[in-house]
Amino acid sequence: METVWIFSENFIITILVYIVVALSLNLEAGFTGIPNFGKHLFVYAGVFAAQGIGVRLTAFIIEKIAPDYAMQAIQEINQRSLTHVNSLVKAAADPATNRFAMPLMREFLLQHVGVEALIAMLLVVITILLGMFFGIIASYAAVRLKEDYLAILLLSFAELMVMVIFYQVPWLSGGNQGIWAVTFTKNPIKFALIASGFLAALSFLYAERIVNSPMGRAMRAVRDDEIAASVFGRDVARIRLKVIMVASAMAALAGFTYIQITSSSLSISFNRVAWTFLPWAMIILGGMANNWGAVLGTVVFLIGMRLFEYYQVEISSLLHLQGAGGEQLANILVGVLILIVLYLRPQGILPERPSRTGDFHRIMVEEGE
Amino acid sequence: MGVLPSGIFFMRSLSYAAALGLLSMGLTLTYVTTKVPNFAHATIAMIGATVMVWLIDNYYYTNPSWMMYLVGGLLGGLIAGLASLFMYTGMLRPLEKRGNTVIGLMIATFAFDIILLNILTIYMNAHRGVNIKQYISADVSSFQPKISILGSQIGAHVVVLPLAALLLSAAFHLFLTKTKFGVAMRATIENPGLAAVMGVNVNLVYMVSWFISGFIAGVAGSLMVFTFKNANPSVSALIIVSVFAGSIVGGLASVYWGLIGGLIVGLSEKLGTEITANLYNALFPPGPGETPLSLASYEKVISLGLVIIVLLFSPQGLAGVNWRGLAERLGLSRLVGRAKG
Repeated sequence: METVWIFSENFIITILVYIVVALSLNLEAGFTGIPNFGKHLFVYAGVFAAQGIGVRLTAFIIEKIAPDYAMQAIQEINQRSLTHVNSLVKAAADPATNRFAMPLMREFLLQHVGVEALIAMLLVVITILLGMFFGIIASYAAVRLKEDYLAILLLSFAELMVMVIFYQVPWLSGGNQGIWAVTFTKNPIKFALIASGFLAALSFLYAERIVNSPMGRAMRAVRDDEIAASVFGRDVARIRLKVIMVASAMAALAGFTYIQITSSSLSISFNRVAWTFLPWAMIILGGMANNWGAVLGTVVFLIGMRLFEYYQVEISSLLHLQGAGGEQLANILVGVLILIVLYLRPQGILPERPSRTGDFHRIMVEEGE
Repeated sequence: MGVLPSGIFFMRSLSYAAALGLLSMGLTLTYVTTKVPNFAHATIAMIGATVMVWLIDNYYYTNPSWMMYLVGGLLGGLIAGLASLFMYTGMLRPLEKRGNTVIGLMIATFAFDIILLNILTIYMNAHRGVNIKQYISADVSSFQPKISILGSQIGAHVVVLPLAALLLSAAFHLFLTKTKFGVAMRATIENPGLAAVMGVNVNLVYMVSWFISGFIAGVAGSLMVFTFKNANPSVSALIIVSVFAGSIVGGLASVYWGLIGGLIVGLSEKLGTEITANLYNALFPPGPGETPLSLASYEKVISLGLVIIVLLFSPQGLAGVNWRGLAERLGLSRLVGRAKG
């Protein structure tokens, strides 16, 4: 009954995806001091790879390797949607015909597992590259300046892309009508569950490894004292760019996995509240600059959100809002929670620990002797 | 159809730019005093917008009068100023004392933004209830006095907004230069430690600057609501892009340059998109049945482009440009007033 929804597949995938986003944000904000207020764009980059790029790529490959099937599919699409498209690529990317084209393309992919695997791998590579690309262009102008400028530029860039460009331009990924993304295997949810579990584990191991390496110490040096870091020969702008690229690629992969369970989504549903503000709340709650903290914060936070969602009608009628405004109340509570945590325990549940690099071990041993 | 925008369009753009100038000015003021970029600034302006909508709902729906600008502006400014003051004294200052870094303070302003935005949204959605259809989807600009300019009837906000910008900035300039407290504020901006040694109550100066910033934002927001297509508080998510753009173009260092930066960004957003669209339509005339190209929804591209250009080439904004050197290099030294050597 009531215990079932906590363990539903969708909820577990959501937790795993948010863990990846929180870990990547922790790399930027917690360890390197990059206030990334535009995380939602980088999550959306993965969604765009599965939507705008994914459907075109799939249609293109089907047209190349099975022209007969593509011709047949085009005829069927034209019949059903009363349009006159002449290429599968166009039909797949157009919001008017996308929903007719997707089932046919999926059918083809299910019959040809090798092609599906190839497309999946290509799209993962594209997702990573796209995330890195967005990371560079969204931050390049400000990586050399103070972190305030970086925050402003990242937020502005993300809001512009998500709320204006991807929403208003219909041929990118359906604009304000949205298109269906490419989903994999017969049961995309199970695929997403495995993929997100794998991704979360990999991200955690990677994040732990990177912060306990010399690079991790350089990142902390950039965060704590930019001038000292550059005096010791570290290129601050380069380190920031590197971290943003890696973290953006991680966030994009998370978005790519997440779209498997919703399969269709508008760009504005990847807004700053859901994919920037919530991850920030998670890492602040769990403890910035601590990977275990990011994981713990995400789990605690999302379970809390779920409980609130479950009782939101009762809560909002208690406040005489006629059962409306549940989403807004949740957002207000998240904001208040952030402020309370920042006031009572700025270091979060699990505070930062010194990095365990090789040198550190040696120092400890020498001191012990 | 000419390439240049019409006079009416220019008036509308100017009123929008004036509001942006005021917002950028307020943002710069809090930035130079407390060194925290205020991510809630546009939503604080939305308090003013909500107050104006409330006034229209309750008093000026059927008989719009010129008083509504004054009442709405002052009331909106006052409430927004108090909210801004609360944000500093009730939130940022305690957090700063607890040892939070700039990033912590930034995320705190972000949290305040989300809280405020959702409170305003609840008011708009839940409490206005039946009126939603009537106003939110409607163009608010039709519920105001009309004036006739250049042979057509348009809302009076096109005159009121630039006038308000002029008045507020002049008043602020007088406050900074002619009053003792204003001089203390300038001293604090220059060097807080030295100002404190000289007996200036630095904390009071900070509080007043946050109140003034919120007040100006509230006035700008309450008048700006007439430039929106719909009066939904969520527009602040995009307005903040322009406000930051204005402040960065101004250099985030001087209040006056913030005002100028906001004006430049506002005008170039509106005029840039309009002129580009007009050029395109003149070069490739739309056929019968086709709608002419409109770029109005892409105006934020221009403001972001300005930000990137400024950050790449002159991170200190227009205030950091060596105008005299530039003029000399272009051979215009006589215009600047001092010859070389």
